[in-house]
Parts: sequence; structure tokens; C-alpha cells
Amino acid sequence: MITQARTGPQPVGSSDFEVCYERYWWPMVRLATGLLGDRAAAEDAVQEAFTAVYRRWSTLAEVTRIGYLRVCVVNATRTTQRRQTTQRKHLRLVEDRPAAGADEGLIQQFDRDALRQALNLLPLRQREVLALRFVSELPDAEIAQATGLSLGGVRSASSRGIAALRSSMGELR
Amino acid sequence: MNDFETRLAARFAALVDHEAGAPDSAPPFVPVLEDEAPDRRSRTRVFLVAAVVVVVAALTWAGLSQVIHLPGPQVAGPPTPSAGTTATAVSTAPSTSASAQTTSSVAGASTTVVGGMTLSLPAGWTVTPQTYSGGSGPIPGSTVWCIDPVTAKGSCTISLTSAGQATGNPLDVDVEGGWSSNPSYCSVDVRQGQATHTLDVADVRSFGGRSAEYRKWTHTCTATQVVQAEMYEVAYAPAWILFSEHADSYVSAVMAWVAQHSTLPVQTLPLRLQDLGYVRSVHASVSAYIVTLDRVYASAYSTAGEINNSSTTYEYTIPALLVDAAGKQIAAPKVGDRAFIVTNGSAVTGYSVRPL
Repeated sequence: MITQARTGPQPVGSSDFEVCYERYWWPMVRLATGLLGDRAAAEDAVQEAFTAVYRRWSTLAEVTRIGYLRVCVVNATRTTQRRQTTQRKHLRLVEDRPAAGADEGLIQQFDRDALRQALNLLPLRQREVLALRFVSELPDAEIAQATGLSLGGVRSASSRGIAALRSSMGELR
Repeated sequence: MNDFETRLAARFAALVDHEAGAPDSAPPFVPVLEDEAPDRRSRTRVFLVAAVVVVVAALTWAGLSQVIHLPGPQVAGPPTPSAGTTATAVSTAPSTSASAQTTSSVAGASTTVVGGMTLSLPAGWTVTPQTYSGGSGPIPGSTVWCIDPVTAKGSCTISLTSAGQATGNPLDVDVEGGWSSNPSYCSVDVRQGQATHTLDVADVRSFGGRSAEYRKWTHTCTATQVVQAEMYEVAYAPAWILFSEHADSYVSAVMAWVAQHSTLPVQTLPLRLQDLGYVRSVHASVSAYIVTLDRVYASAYSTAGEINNSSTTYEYTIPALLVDAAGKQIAAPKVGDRAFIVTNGSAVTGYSVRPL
């Protein structure tokens, strides 16, 4: 469902774009949420990415469109994170958590908080690689394309990221 | 995938399920047309053109001023770019504010009042309250504004912070951003040892008519990724911080201009909010220790770890019953302690020993 903001020429193949948008919007929101930890910010990043893809839709070869979309999503989340970096890193010492309780929901909440906190402490590229691997379930070659890393870089970042999470979170029994 | 990775994948998926909520269908897509929102390249182009115009205007005025000796307004010009080497070059002598500055002119400056500060901006720059998304936000009690070129509004090229009544985090004039924290630059996949970090300048400069700690850092992550950070921090209440992680020579000049032409609210409380140095003397009484502190500039990036070119000492009264963050009573201060002192402006509220 595309609503033209203004009258103007439709891009070539915009009906294909519509299909792409409806099919990939949610997976991209999940990926961006994995990277940003926030649904609203993720939706903004995905909107920005689809807007970039929309502008270039007619010039993109069909087989490259989804890969390009993924690159745009990763880039948009990087921009969002750059804006948030200063305040987040300076908030590290003042973040409060709710008081602990024995409730199962709270325990799960603490698990999630611990994972998010551990992820936020990872270098950006490691976090991206792990999100693309575990949230989008992409093979290394596509992760490399989305992040701009070499295959070796992807494997190295993945291995280091996992090792860092294991070190900070234990074995995740 | 080994067992740990399988469990991690499940946890990660559960985390994203929770954070993203229930699956949604896509909302209507509203494409923003080119003329409504120029793409980044266009914005950059406009920004660069604006920058060139401002610099040319400034240089022209400076040249004319020299030729015909016009008593033009005193404006900070771009400082000499740092050498870009890994060596740490630090000046710790308090400088007179005029000594490091040149004169030029920026036409069309604007003035606005934010948080009690009279903020002057050169033409083409604007200030907006910083907006936050998700769980992030300012240090509680503080307020942040973004200073940007009008073509990049909201990017927070330079942040302006009124520390207000913030009590959660102590200030720290030796940390990028101005708060006690552990900022990590070069977070990309940089091989260990490849990145270099330097403290280029540490001195005292004027910011809004008050004395501010000035720092400039360079983080060279890769040949193409360099983070230049610069900060003016007024460490007495009300505390203010002018900070940028995009401090190339142009942004640096804008910061100097803002620092020189703006006016901060006057100091209201006598004690510096944060200090670091060596305890040179201790006088104990029943209820307090009176210490004299020989201030140092800490640098995680210099081989020495700190700079101390002045033997001036500052007196603090440390309550004997002061407790640390864990609620444990602090040990009695000793001569030679490398002490990190936090105050509320009127009294010392934190004393900890931070060995080099």
C-alpha cells in the first residue's frame, strides 16, 4: 500500500516495490530492533531505508534489491546509533533496573536485559554481524554484503562477538 | 553452530520478539520526494557550500581588517589542525583566551536564550533541543541541545549540555562528553593495536565568559576513520558542556566562536563539582579532613597517564563520615593519594582514590 505524498511520476516497477515493502518490512523491523533495541527507532530506520531503496528502485537489478535494502537498513541503524552514542555511553553509569523479584516474568526480563546490555557493549560491527546471523539468519556471504566486511571479517567479528557474550553472560543454561 | 550458539540464537530471537512486539503488517509507505527531503549527498553539498561561503567571508573580513585596520569583533578562527601523529602534545598552562585565537568576522550571527544561557551562533547554524528515542536519554537532571548547520538540523554536530542538578553521574573534565563514563571509540572491527588515541590539547579557556576546561582528542581508528573530539566544560555550578565528536577544523572554529560570543549564567556555588589530583596535605578534625589537592589532568592516552605542570593546590573539606558508593565509610585521606573528588558545589559528596 503506497500513498503518494505528492503528485508526481511513479517510479518504474513501483508495484514490485509495494510487494517488496509489504514482504520485507517486518523482517527488516526485526533486524533493526535487534540492532537498536527499540521498536520505534527501528521503524524509523526501516522507513529511511525503504525511502532510499524507493528512490533507486528502477536502477537496481532485481537480484540486488533485497541486499541493497539490507545495506540501507544497517546504514540507517548506524546513523541512529551515532546520534544515540554519546548519550548512551554516558548513561552507562546511571542506568537503573527495577527491583528484583521471584516472578518468572521478571527473571526472563532480567535475562533479556542482561543480553541487551551485553550486546550494547559489543563493538558495532560485532553486534551487526550477530544480529544479521541470529535475527535474520543470513549466511556469512550475505552478512559480508550487508556490513561491508570481508568474509574473514565477518567470521572474525562473529567469533569475537560470541566469545565476548559468552564471557559476559556465562553459558546461558 | 555449537550448543552455546544455539542457545544464544534462541535468546537473541526471544529478545527481539519481546522488543519488537507482535508481528505487524507494514504501515502505508509514504515516499518522500526529492524536493521535500534532499538526500544526504545533497544536504552535504549544501552544507559544504555554506561552509565555504562562511570561511571565505571570514577570511575576506580578516584580510580587510588587516589592510584598513578595522576594529572588527573578536572572533575565534580555525585553530591549526593537529599534527595527526601519535605523539601526545599537551599544553597544560592556563592560557589567556586571546592568545590562541585570531580575529575574523562571521556575518549574520544569531542569539538565543537556552536554559538561561545566551547562546550566539554563527550564520548558518541553529540550535534545537536534543530528541531521544528508545531507552536513551540525557543524564537525569541535565538538558541537551544540538547545535548544527541549518542543513543538518538535529544531527547534533555539537552538543550543548546544561548539567543542571544532575546527580546520578559526576562530571569528569578528562572524559569525552564531560561525565564520568567509559566512552569507547573505534568500536568498529579494528585490530588490536591498530587504533591510536591522543590527547592533543588540555588547557583552560573561556566559555561564555567563564573559565572552562578545554580538551581536544583524536581517535584514529583506521586510515579512513578518525574521530576528533573537542570539549569545553565549565566545572562549577551551573555547569555547562560544549562537546563535539565531529570536531574538524571548521566545527572546532564554530565551537570557539560559540564559546567566545555566548554568555553563560554566572557561577552560583563556590566549589568545583569535580576535581582530580594528588593530596599534598591533610589536617584532620573531629568531623572532617581538610585536604589540599594538587590538580592533574588525566589522560588515558598519554604515556605518562597524566599531566601536572602546576603546583597550585586547592582546598577541600572531606566529611569524616563520607561513605563510598557501596555505603562503606571512606578511608582517611592520606598525603599522596591520587584523589577523585566530587562535590555538590557547596560540600564534598564523594572522595575516592584512583591510582594511576
